[in-house]
Amino acid sequence: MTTATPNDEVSGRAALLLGPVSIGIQSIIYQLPFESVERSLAAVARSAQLVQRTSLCKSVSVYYGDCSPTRMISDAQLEKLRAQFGMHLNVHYHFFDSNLGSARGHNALASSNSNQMFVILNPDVLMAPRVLQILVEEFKEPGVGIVEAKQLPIEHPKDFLLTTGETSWVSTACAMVASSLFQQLRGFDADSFFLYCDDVDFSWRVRQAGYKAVYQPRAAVFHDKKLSPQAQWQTSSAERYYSAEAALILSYKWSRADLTQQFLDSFKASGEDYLIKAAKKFETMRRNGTLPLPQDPEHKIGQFIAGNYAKHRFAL
Amino acid sequence: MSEMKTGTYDNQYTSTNLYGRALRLLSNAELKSPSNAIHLDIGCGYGHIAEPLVAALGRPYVGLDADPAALASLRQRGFESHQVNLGDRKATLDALLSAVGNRSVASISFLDCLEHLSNGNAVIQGIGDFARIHSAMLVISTPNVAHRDIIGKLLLGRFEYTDAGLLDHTHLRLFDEQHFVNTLKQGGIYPIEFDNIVQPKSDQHFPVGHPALEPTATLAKLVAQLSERANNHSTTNQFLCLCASGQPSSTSTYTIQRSVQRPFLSIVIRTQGMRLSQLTETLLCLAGQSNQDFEVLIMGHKLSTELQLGVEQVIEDQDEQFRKKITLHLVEEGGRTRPLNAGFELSRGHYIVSLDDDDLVFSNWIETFHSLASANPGQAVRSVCVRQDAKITTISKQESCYASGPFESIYPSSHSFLDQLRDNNSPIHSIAIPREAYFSTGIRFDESLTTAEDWDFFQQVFNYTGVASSSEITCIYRWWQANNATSRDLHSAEEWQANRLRILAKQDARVTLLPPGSTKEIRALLDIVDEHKKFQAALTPGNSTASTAAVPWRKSAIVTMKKSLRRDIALCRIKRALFIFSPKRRAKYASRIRSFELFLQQM
Repeated sequence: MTTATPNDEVSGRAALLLGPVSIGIQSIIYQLPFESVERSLAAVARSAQLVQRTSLCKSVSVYYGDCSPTRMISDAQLEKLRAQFGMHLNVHYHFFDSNLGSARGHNALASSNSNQMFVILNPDVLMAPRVLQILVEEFKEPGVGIVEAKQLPIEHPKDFLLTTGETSWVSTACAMVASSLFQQLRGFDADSFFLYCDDVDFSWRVRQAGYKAVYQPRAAVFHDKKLSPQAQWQTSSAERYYSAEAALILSYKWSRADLTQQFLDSFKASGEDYLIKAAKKFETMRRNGTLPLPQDPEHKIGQFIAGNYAKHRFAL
Repeated sequence: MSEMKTGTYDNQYTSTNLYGRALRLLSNAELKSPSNAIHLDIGCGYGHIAEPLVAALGRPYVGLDADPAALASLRQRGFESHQVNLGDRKATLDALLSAVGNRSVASISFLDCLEHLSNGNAVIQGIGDFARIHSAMLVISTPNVAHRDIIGKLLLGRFEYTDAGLLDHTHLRLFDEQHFVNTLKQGGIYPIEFDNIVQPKSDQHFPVGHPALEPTATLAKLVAQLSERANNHSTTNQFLCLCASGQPSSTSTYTIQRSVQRPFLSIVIRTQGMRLSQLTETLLCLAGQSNQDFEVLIMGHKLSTELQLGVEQVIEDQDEQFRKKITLHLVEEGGRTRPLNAGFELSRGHYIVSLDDDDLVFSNWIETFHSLASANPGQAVRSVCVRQDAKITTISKQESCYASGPFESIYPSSHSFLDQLRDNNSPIHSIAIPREAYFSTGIRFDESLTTAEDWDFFQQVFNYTGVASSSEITCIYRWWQANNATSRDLHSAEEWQANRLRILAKQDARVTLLPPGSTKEIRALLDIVDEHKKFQAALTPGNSTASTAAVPWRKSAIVTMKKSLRRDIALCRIKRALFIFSPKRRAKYASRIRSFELFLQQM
């Protein structure tokens, strides 16, 4: 599933084989109550404590980037978090004073995250206790570029190789990647993606660089999603809009202009405001010349299957 | 004792009545006192136990009572007797010491007296003090106010004192088992053996034909059904026990605290320690609950040391605050149902739910139960479960589990009492029951069932609690594919069927309470069965009127159905009605059923 030769120095494997590594966990906050952050951090702290008892990890730091209109964590609350969890991890907080979006926010945090391994984490996700250990262990395997934890109770349906966990792309609700690879790829494509599909694009670039995107269902995290009474995945209006916008840009970037046009046509004809808005946004970007350069012309990496970016094990 | 009416309690001795049983208890006890140590009969009345007691124990008998006529009778028969009035604790002790003098006391009887005393606690304390001094054994009795005859009548608002018996009009205090035992303990008297007088028909079994008393009446059956499970002493007429003396207990004889601080929910997780990664995921879902007012009881069933260590490691791994909610309990015996009963027994929560060690729940699982329970206290609460197939794989040499199929809505979005009679429509973790539905009713998981024990249990609970349900999907039942067996796969179809038939037989044997609205549903079902019979008759080969009868029948059916039922509801109910036939019979009529369904679809 890869097109280039992986390098152990870049993937983080070499560092891991030499000794314990440092882990820097990044989370972007947008109007998330402090209590949710605190609960999530408690789970992270426990996972950090356990992984530091192994020979895999020497330190864990957490970097919060706050994109909210006003600070969601006060200085006093920050001190409380440090007092509660400082034994097991270092807590850093950056108030951006601007809604940078997920991709740009993470890139900004990465500039101050000097650790060897990065974890991209939704700030409301709860880690099972051994998640950091399981994720970092995965990098002992050659060629692993990015590893995703399994989200519960609604598991993502994308397909993966049952023996290796290799998959088309990984969700950054909770995923680990070596800082060296992140830097080599210049992080997320923040110019193209604001909120969604930045992880799909990043995963595909990881694979394009010769590394594996791996799904590790043994590492479980709790991501609070619910089903409708009809057992359908419930999405918010923001999720629907940004997903539509990202679908246009992603298909364009990964050389599926045919799909982009199909999406545009169907969006415009849908009568749905959010789809029409997404189509207009894309056309504005095209007019302004701000669309990303198309790549993967032979379609070796990008997958567009039935409206998804991977073959799915089941419909959700 | 001073107020008793002369002659009222001139009860004779028989080997099987209270006196006979009391004497047998004393005879079987190993009394270590010297052979000349006396037996003291407090509240002796006419002392008809005196002769057989002296004969059996070979000890001097001394009777104490307030009734001069009764004491005179004893004296006439050659027994020592004293008139005493039992007062407070010290006065009682002094009176007893005075009557006995410097003699040793081997044993004491205090039969059917306690209930007559206004200062019963103090008298028991005085007797306890006295018994302790002499290291004497005691036999004590009192009538049982929780006899089902009294309960049945009280249910219909009748509480009748009589001249004597269970509700003797001179009884100043009434005892059930707990109150009796606590009263003894606060006086330092500890029951060591009971030989209660059991009488299914007590002296309160009147008037004739009372629907709560006569065994063939449905209400009496219900009272008996409830009493037999909830009340170990529903047919006990009198409590009679052999006791030893000890230090008085500080336990109050009456309830001081009406409510106890409890978590909202007790979550009972049974595990065999074989699915530790799944158990980790189950606990993770609990850590993610929006309502954190719960406790977790992990019931390790027949764990080897290695597996126990594995389970302990999973618990130890948890964050400290969450870990404080979790306790591990080992269950070494029994089948798969034993850990459920053991876990429910230990639960402290207002509500109790069972969660298997491979189940998943959404963040609103407890919150939904809590909302339902707040609005419907006392009812069982139900939310909706979805099924999802899952598999195990090995990645990087480690076992991982993953979802292999979509969410399937195979369980109804609301509870139907009638549907539940026929099959289990609610996985065990989609239902929480109020703790008193377990502790007060005495309903337990049937440990002789190897499958479907939850269905049997819930049927009984729902009978008394009803069910408040929500259409919210709050939990996932993972169906393991391939080699990852669950109870669905571990038991043969024959075993499932045998258990099903047993459960249905149990169901048929008991009185079933239908919630309001059920009769309407039953009428609708019966109407459909009637319609189906008409249709069958019209299509029966050889019926000379079949072809002609079918046409007008169809016309009338169309009118009827269109008026009363929407097509989809009609279809659903027809299918339900048809289900009552055996598979063989359904197969026989398959083509007719199909044609009927097609006909309905065309309506």
